[in-house]
Amino acid sequence: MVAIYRPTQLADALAVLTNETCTVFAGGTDLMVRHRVRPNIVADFSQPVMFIDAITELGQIQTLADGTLRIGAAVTLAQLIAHPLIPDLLKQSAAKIAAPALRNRATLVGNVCNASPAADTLPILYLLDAKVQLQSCQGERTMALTQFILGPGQTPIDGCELLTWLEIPPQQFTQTFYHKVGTRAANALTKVSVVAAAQVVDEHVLDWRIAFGAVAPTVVRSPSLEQLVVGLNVSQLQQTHFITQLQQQYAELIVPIDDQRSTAKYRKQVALNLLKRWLLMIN
Amino acid sequence: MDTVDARFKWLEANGEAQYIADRHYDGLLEGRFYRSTCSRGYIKAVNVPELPDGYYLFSAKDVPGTNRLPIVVPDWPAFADTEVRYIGQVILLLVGPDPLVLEQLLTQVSVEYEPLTPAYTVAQSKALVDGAIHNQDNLFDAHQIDKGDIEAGFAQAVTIFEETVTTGYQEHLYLETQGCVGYVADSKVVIEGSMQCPWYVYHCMSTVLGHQHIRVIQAPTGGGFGGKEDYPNIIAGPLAVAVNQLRQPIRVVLERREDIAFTSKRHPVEFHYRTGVDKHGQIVAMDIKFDLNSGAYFSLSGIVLQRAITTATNVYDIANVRIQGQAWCTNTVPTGAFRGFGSPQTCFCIESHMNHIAQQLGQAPLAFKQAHLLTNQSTTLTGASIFGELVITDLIEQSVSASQYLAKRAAYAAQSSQGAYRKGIGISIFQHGCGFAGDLEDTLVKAKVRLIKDQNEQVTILVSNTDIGQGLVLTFRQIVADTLALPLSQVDISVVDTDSVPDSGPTVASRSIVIVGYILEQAALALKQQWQVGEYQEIEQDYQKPSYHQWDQINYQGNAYQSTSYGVNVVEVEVDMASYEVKINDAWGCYDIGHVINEQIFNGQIDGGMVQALGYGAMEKLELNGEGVFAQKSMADYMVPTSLDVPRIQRSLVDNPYPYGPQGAKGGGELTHNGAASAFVAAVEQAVGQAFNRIPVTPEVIAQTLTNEPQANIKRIDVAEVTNEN
Ligand SMILES: Cc1cc2nc3c(=O)[nH]c(=O)nc-3n(C[C@H](O)[C@H](O)[C@H](O)COP(=O)(O)OP(=O)(O)OC[C@H]3O[C@@H](n4cnc5c(N)ncnc54)[C@H](O)[C@@H]3O)c2cc1C
Repeated sequence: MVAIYRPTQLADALAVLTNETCTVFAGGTDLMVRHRVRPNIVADFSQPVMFIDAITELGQIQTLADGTLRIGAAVTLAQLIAHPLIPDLLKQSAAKIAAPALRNRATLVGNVCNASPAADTLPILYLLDAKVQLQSCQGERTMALTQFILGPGQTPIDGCELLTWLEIPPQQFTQTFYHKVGTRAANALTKVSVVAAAQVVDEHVLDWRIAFGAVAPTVVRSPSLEQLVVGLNVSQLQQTHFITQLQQQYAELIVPIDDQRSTAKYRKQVALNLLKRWLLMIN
Repeated sequence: MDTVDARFKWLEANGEAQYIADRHYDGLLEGRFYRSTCSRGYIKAVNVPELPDGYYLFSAKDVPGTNRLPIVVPDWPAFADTEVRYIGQVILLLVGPDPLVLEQLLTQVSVEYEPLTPAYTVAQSKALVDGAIHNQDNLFDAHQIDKGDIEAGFAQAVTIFEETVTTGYQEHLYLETQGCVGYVADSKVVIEGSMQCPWYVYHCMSTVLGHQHIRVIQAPTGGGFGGKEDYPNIIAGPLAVAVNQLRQPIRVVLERREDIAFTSKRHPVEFHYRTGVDKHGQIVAMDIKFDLNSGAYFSLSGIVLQRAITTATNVYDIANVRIQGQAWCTNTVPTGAFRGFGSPQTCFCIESHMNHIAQQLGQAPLAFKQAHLLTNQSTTLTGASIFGELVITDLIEQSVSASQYLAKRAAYAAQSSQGAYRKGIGISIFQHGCGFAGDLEDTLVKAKVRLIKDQNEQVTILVSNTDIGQGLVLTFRQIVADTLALPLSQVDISVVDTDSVPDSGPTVASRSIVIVGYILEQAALALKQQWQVGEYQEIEQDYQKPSYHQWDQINYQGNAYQSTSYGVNVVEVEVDMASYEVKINDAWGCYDIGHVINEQIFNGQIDGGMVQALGYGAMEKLELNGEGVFAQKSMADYMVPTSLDVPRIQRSLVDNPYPYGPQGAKGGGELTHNGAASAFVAAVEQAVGQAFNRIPVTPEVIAQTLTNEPQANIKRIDVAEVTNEN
């Protein structure tokens, strides 16, 4: 048996973490799988467990004065989907995670901290230039999500820190695209996913982004390749040689694996096909 | 005698039903299996830790009777003794009060093996590396049927098509995992469990224990699909040994991963067709060879083989046929019963082969099939005349008009090959023999039913057939109530308990309604005639073979089944040409199951069977890795369709009463799984313009076929050319 904490105040939670190393438990939907033993046997947690679902402050979704959206660490996927301020792409990806019962417990921040290569919200959060705020008794630090996700299951979070808020800067798109290729239509883990957004004014591409999930150890997004597209005219995007060339450049970054759910070859092919579909969609 | 709650499925729906995992008993111990980690080898030594007080270990040495479970043939040991044949085979049963301690003790057991080279595939089985696993040749069973004159048939052929079509493993994925509890009551060893065939379990227990102070009771069962035909024996054998010795309640419940990894699966099969077509485009000869991968023990493979052989030409009348089927021993989990029992494999393979020949001949698949259909005048593959009226053409007509198959087929043939999404529609025609193969109902099963009427005019049905979710308890009550012209509330059905019910045979082979339901109807008629108000009465009735039914089990000649049901499925799909995902837009199922007794219940079978078959064809990938275990280990890896993966299924029936079935009914439980995989694949073939010769057709398979050089699956030989070469 391990000690259990369930603070209602953020300060109390941070104080606990200063004193001892805890497993932070948000919705527990990754943790309970990771620590399961067998049905009817209590999950095997070796460290004290701190539940963060009762910290009311972190259950909020706010907009700051500059338009930045802040999502607290206790916000569940179900709350996210129902909230009017959440960008549609993020809602789409959250709605494609598992099934309603799971979405009632699982949190967005839990999906981020778990840092799985197949995590569904990560490609969207990469695309939206999300930042994370880490807090401890010593202070706080904010970093880009791209700096936070170091590899599968790896983040720079310190034992005494809590990821308190996820921040999404304000941005405008005229068109977006999201395609999760799951193992089936619902309650499905991702084989490959593609999310993209663009801002096009008078056939002129002002902003163009694309991110790929589950095709590499971390989400694939390339600012330098995106810069090749920004500034072009829509018609240029749709020329066959341009598409082929961009596909070849992205192909170098897309390095998926074979596993029991799919094959590397399939994942790569589909990622590149969907890149083409996205380019042809833009108008 | 306990009766089933008369409120149909009320307890299950409310969560009040006490499944094995929900049970509480005083002094209950839990049991866990120690399973082989070696695919093939001899057991050299078993090292066990010192057991804490109250913990016990059972092995082959503790078996008081015979350590071989009598499942058709007695080859599968309750506990592996000298050799192991697959990873997961039971070697020990560890018993004790605390599941966590058991978990830890299991990690301290080790077994030393002298390993041999394992065979996982049929090809490896045939190669006999390190000698045979079984007998001298690894061949569990083999049979052949000859109809007409195969050589004379091929002599008329102008074109010969050769093709190999294969199907993969399939996992049942019943909602409730396997489980049994054992205890002693009235000095009998009692096993209660999630199971289809309590009398099978009874016979296994009596063999292993060497006595008959035993009793088996079916617990509420959360799905079976065939998976709870043989495997409950594998649990109950060792469990009975432990209960017999300790005289304390002990429970074994498999965890989901354990269940997926180690319980029986559907047989993978490889069909090789050689089909001759004459100058009119008519099939004149079919030479069919196929192999079943039976896994490590024989189990039910013989009967699966028989069904696959005797129905190999499906609904087609082919004059000259030779069929050779073989079942091979390998070092994998034994393959066993799964809804359809060889027929879903056969139906997919032959339907695909027919589609591909039609394509090669430039004919429409449906027209080509229609030109070969069995008619009332046909002689079946096994040399019998058709009993009753065939309504296959009505089924086709009804399906084609409901789905607008012909118009859609033409429209999709004309769609652009460059579209981002492409549509296709496919049709399959299929059959299912109801009841045990041949006349085994008469020579082997000999079913018996009992009706009891008490002084208050309440009637109780006593049969050994189990409700595993398919609704049998209601249909049986309805048959008896209708015959007696009583309200349903005046007819109960007993819990299946070997202390009170006669052996009316197992709940398998789509036999419960057509065979047992009919005997019940006969019993009810007898009771009606003898009814004495206020008197206690008992009626027993035995199975009687209808006079038309003739069968030669040695040569496979006669009526392969007492009756046959038929169906037609149409499936319409849309393929995303970027992701190769297939969306099933519509599905139709039209059936002849004689006369339907309870349409709502049969609709459940249509929906469930078709969804299971669509999963089989589209996504249920279960593959062996290099170690001979399945790569797909959990419900996150093994994909069955969700309600969002399948459309609302459009169902219809053709009424065609069968004179030897209750109210004219035939069987329908398995039939509904036979056709949808093939209709699905035919639809995908039309959409993407490529042929597939194996299932499941996953998006990965579609991608591979479209992005690589498409392989010529079917080989076409022009006979004139061959002659010239000679
Ligand atoms: C059946 C099933 C289906 C699933 N399907 C999908 C799917 O389709 N797509 C998908 O992406 N995921 C899926 N998941 C995974 C999981 O549900 C998600 O990753 C979910 O968002 C995790 O959130 P949680 O709140 O439950 O995390 P938890 O399990 O509570 O935590 C996950 C990890 O993050 C850490 N953590 C959580 N919050 C904090 C914090 N504030 N600060 C620091 N560390 C923290 C935890 O310590 C833990 O290591 C599925 C899981 C299951 C069981």
